[in-house]
Amino acid sequence: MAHKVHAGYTVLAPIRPGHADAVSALLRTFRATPRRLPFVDVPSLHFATGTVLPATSWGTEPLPATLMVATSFCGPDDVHVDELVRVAGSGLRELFAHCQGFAPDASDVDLAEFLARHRQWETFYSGMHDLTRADVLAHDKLRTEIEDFIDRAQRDDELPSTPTAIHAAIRAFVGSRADLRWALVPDRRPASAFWARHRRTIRLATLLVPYLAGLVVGTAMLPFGTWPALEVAVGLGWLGLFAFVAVLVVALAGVFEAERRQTFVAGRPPDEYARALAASQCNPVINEMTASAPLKEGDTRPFVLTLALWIIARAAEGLPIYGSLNIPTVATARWVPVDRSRRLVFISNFTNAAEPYVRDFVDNSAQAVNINLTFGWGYGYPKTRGIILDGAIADPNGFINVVNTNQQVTELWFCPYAHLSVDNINRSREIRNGIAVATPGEKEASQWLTLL
Amino acid sequence: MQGLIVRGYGGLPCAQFHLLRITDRAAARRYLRTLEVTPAEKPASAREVALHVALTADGLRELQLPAEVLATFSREFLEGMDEPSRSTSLGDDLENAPEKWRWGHAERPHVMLMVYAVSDRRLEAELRRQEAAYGAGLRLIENGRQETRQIPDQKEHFGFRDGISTPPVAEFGKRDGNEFWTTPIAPGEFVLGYLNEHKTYSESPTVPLSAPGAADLPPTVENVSYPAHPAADLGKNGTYLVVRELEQDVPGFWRYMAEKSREGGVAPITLAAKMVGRWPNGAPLVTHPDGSTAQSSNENAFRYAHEDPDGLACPIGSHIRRASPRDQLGAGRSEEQSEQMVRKHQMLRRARTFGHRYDPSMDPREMLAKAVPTEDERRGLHFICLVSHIGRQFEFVQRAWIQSPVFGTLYKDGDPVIGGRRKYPDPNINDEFTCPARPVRRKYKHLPQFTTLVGGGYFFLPGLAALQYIAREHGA
Ligand code: HEM
Repeated sequence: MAHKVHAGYTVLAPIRPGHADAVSALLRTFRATPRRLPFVDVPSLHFATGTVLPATSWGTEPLPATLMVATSFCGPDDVHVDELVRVAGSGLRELFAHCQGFAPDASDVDLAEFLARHRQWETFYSGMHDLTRADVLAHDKLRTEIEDFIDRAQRDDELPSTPTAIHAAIRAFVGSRADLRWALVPDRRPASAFWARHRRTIRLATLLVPYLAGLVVGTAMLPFGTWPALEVAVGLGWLGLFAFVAVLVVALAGVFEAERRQTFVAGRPPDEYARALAASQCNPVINEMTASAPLKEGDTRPFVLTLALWIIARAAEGLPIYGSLNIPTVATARWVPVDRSRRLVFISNFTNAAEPYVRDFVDNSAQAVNINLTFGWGYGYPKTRGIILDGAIADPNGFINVVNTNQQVTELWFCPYAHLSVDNINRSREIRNGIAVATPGEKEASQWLTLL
Repeated sequence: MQGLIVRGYGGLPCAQFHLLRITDRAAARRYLRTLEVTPAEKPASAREVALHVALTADGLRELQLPAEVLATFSREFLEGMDEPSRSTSLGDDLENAPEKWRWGHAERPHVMLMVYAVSDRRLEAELRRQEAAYGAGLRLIENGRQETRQIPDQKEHFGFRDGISTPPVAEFGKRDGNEFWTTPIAPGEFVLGYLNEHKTYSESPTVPLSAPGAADLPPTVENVSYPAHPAADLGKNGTYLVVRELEQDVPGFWRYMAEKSREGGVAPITLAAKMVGRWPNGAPLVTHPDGSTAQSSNENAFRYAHEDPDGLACPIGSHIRRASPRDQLGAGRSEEQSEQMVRKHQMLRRARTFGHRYDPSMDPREMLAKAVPTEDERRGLHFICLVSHIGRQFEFVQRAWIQSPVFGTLYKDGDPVIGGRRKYPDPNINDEFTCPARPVRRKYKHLPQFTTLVGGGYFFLPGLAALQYIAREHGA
């Protein structure tokens, strides 16, 4: 059984000079006529964003206009790419035809290769693990049918009076329906999901653990004999470690120095712009935001950002290194280092509208530290201290201003279940898991019924 | 500072609000300059009559405030409550759409004059005086005379005690130890120019130091990023005022309760109380799950997270639990996180009821017994609240809590009492009410709308010095 780990696939392709407006227009057309880029027919897909990152600069270094197509999907990468190419290939070709290095008559293999070549690693957070889009929709249908069953039974006064008896009645109902019966079989996560989710951490650990253990053991052995080869190896080992620490210290010192020098903090963006953003956030349940900005000044910032994003990415995959990354309103969030980490892009699908959603971050102090760590790099973000202090905590107005300034009106957004919050999705899964339990105890059944 | 910020004038039960448009700028300025607004500092002067004045962005434009000054007001205020995307997100569409309003859209007001008095006689006399004074420069808009009529025992028209829960503000609120918030809410949440819950200052309108009139205003306090340059603080001691006129369908409300309880589940008054979150006499459902107290209650120190996590006593989707979720915001947030966040979305409510009582007794049993409306009268609530940040406080609450179908643990619900309903076939319906119970909940579907928004606007309630600045000659 294939795993269903939720991940991001972000493709960045520099746009041919003069084509940026055409790409934006095409993305808008695709949004209006989904048949031309039928994401709805890509089974592994959850959300998708298509947008143009405008040409800008980091200091004096120009950053090109870039097409970004960012999907979130579940399952193996190659299956997702394969589906994208097969189902949405012609729309994607039309888009990438405006990009450098893409031949419009590319074969499926060429297109898949182009996607893989332009895929950018990122920090990806998901609030809903191990679910396909079909699962989400099936759970929603199951829940609705169960709710309707209870409503009917209550109306006809036919509902049993104890929790276990009600649970059994619901199970019998589910079992009686050919289209719902699947829910009686418990959902099991394949072992491959663990590897798929933590493979980067595991790979690093297989390098680092022997290295550090060897270093410690080797160092401890040295006083007990004369092993010239070991001496050299241990010496090099320590040297490597010191070199890494030294580079880190210098890089961090560079960032701290740049923090002290910062003078610019974004002001309130023009009202017309904020209004256009607000108008793009009118869905009652889920909305999307894309924000992109070149980094603040500081030559070593791209390096430190890369390292930080890499570590946060492991935390987002579930590794408990940096508190717990639990963002309750977020279905997906991703931080993408673009242009060799000279520009940072944030994309999220979340409950509520963008401004109140980001306001949530600064409303509670524990989260605000995370926000400095993940957003504090962008140009115009309030001055941080030691990367995580001050920033949005000291200046929430400045934080909202910089988010509004850097947020884009996303041209193309695909969301297959706009009526479900991430909380709904997780709760429906609990309902589904509970119905698969054949004989729960009275307490368990009672607790399960509170989900309805 | 205008006195309305620090007191709701419980002792002045008679009130009328006039929504006005400027007809002669010079005369309007003269009127505003000489208007004896009741200050916060002198409660004695408000023993019999109190006067307040607030302006819309259109009003400030009409008074020719310099564009650079106007631009420093909040975006929400400048755009107004009826800006199209705002209407959609606040649930002010469909039945509540601005196109159907009695006031506030086709002809937006410029100024709102608020008169409070100890008796009808004193109110009448004061109104006559004010009408004579403003007549040369301002006129009432259509339906601009907002009469109010207090119901005894702080009741609103459905028959429930209102105005019980107020955020305590150390600097000016009454504190009686019966509050949910044990640490007071920072004054900057409700008045501009003071520290807010973020330990900073909410965005406040300013005047460049070199501009005429700036010298009469206090300087801005040093803030982290706002404003970028020292300036005169036009917002200081002022605040934003949100006004929404909500008509209440009282017979429809009680008819619905009667009808639904006949289908099973709880008794009609209990169902209505479940929707509000308190019993008609004010007693909270959390602490009195099985029945009300004999006496009217002001009880307000109750919590949700431990006492009632699943909403078995007070439904998660009830009006008060949505309007202020206290220590249980849901979505896996801890009590501490919830409180930290909910503190930043509080409002000072200053509502007044209007229209005759559906039944003079205001007893829900009497209202239930009356099956049909006996009269055709409009009745409802002038919902008024004071906030230093319209977006973070009123709009956030209205959108993310009151109107949201997915508030808390819900899927398709909306505020059962005041929600605007989106109905099937809209994919995002919010016209259900889930009433948690043992062994299993009961759902009420296709809820009718019990309140209708018939007018509204965002106003600026200036401090006294700011009012003088606004009323000065600004030139074209
Ligand atoms: C006709 C319309 C309305 C009616 C009949 C109504 C009724 C009530 C009642 C009976 C209470 C309980 C008394 C109390 O705790 O003070 C209450 C509380 C409250 N209402 Fe409303 N209300 C209405 C409109 C609104 C609106 C438009 C809002 C804001 C969007 C709002 C926000 C609140 C808040 C914040 C509380 C206090 C919650 C707490 O702290 O526990 N209400 N309302």
